Amino acid sequence: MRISKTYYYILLFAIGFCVSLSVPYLVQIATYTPPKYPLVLYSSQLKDIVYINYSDNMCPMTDRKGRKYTTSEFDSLMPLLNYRQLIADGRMPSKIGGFDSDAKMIRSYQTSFRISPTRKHQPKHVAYPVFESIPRRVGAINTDYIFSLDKDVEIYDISLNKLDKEKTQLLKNELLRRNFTFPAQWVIGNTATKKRYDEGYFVLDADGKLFHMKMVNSRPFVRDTHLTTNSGWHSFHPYEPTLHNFYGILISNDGKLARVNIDDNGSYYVQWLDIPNIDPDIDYVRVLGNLLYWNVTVTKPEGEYTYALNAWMLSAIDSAFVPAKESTWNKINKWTFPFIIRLKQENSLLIEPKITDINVNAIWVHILLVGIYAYRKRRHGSHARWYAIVALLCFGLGAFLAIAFLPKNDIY
Amino acid sequence: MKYLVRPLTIVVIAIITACGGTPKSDSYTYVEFPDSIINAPYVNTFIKDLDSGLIGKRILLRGRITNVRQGNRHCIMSNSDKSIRLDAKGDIMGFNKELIGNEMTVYGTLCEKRFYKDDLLRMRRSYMELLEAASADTSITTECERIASDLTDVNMMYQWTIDNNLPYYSIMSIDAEEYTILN
Repeated sequence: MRISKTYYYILLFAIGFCVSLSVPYLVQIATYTPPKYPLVLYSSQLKDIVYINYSDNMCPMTDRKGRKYTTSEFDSLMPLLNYRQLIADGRMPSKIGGFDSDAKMIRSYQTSFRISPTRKHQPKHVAYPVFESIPRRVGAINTDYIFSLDKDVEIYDISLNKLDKEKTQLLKNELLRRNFTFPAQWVIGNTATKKRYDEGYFVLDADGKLFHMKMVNSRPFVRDTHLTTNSGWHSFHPYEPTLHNFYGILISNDGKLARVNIDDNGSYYVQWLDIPNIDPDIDYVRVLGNLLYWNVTVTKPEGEYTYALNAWMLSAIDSAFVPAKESTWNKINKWTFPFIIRLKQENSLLIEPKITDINVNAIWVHILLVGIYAYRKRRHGSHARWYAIVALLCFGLGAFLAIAFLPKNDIY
Repeated sequence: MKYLVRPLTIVVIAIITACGGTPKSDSYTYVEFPDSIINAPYVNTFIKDLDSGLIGKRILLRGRITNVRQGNRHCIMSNSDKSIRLDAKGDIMGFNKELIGNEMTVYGTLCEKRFYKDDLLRMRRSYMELLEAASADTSITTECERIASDLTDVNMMYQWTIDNNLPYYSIMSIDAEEYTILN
């Protein structure tokens, strides 16, 4: 098969681009194994951090010194985690950390949620369900209304598919009465219908003021929280705990995390989590809380940091770091691909092509390969050689494959 | 046919009258709602000038919410040193805790619950028995604290009846049917 020079060059660059786009993905699928971390928690009995590996049936718990504990010892040393087993065995201590060991109370203080960076990078919601915060029937959270809040606010009756002018006006009046400035920067709330109760939405207005908005007794309730931070608020993670004792976690633009509460005088306040600043666009955060401690795990590319905090004051007690094990993909990637063009980032739900994973080692390897190629083709005087070298420098392995598979004819 | 005209007319008039109901403004004895929000009396003024004839009547009151409790079904409205309990009734399913600190007007029926001296003594006895039983079990200290707090309240109520030479301790509340947040 013979092809013209122009088509050859077009094909060379097109195939080189497509292959360099797809091959890293295929290699990654074949070689990548996600890092596995043990569950790191703070033991109320040992007063130290322990590592739990549930796949080990005999000795699931290991302490910092490497000592392993049997299942029975694990139950006793982690009573706030295994209280149901301890009660079933009749081994529940009468007091834990000065509190009566009442199963109902222990359960009510259990807290578990994840903060994922994908929340920020996702298509912007245009409508949010309007839930009644104090529903007529217990546990029945459903709604016929949705609202949109951006440059203006609108409430729609979804059963009629019409704008509810009366409710819209009520909400707008309430927002303006509270000095809300349109447009809203973000609106974040728990839109799930399977939940214990509803705390409405937290809304950041155009001036950076944070508002709490919800529907109570079929009427809008809006309040300026007056919560401020120097860097501004990045996002909010709602959580509706059994005890109604906090609203969720606020994240500042500089990566500080804060628990949002309301005091007995009806004023909102934040309790800063005593942990280093996170990168809210990359890091994953997991909170496993109990009556005494909050175990906050921050997963970064280099590994997992766990911080044990006092559950009441959120002050740091202890911390641990588990490094990420290098997977086969990382080893290959380091030397094979100088960069990867990713259409979608790991922490995002949006299609945003970006050049990532720039590897200096792989760049040198490619320069070496290009050098070898140029040396071997030194006697060829055609322009094709230079096009090939440019393609190799741009697309690396993709261009190599393109040169190998394209018909040679008389181009070189 | 003419025998039926008169009874039918009476029935139609009766139905129209029944459906129409009493005009709303007639049923408010203290102030009108919602036109008189600004004129609504504050809790302390109201309690000071409280006319006992208002029990069971609909009233409008103004004050600041200082507490929301018992699963949002009740809240306390205060002004100065006087306070009154609001119970969620009618279309009001409850009070959200964010209302604390807000000034609002509430419209509803004034209710009174009387605790006579004999009732208070009986309550005191039963609380003391409960406290004695709870104290024996060292694992339920929080329960002890709760009972002790209730016992203190009962003692205070009983003492008040003696100090004021009254046969009962009276607790006023409003069965709230409507409210408006003012600030």
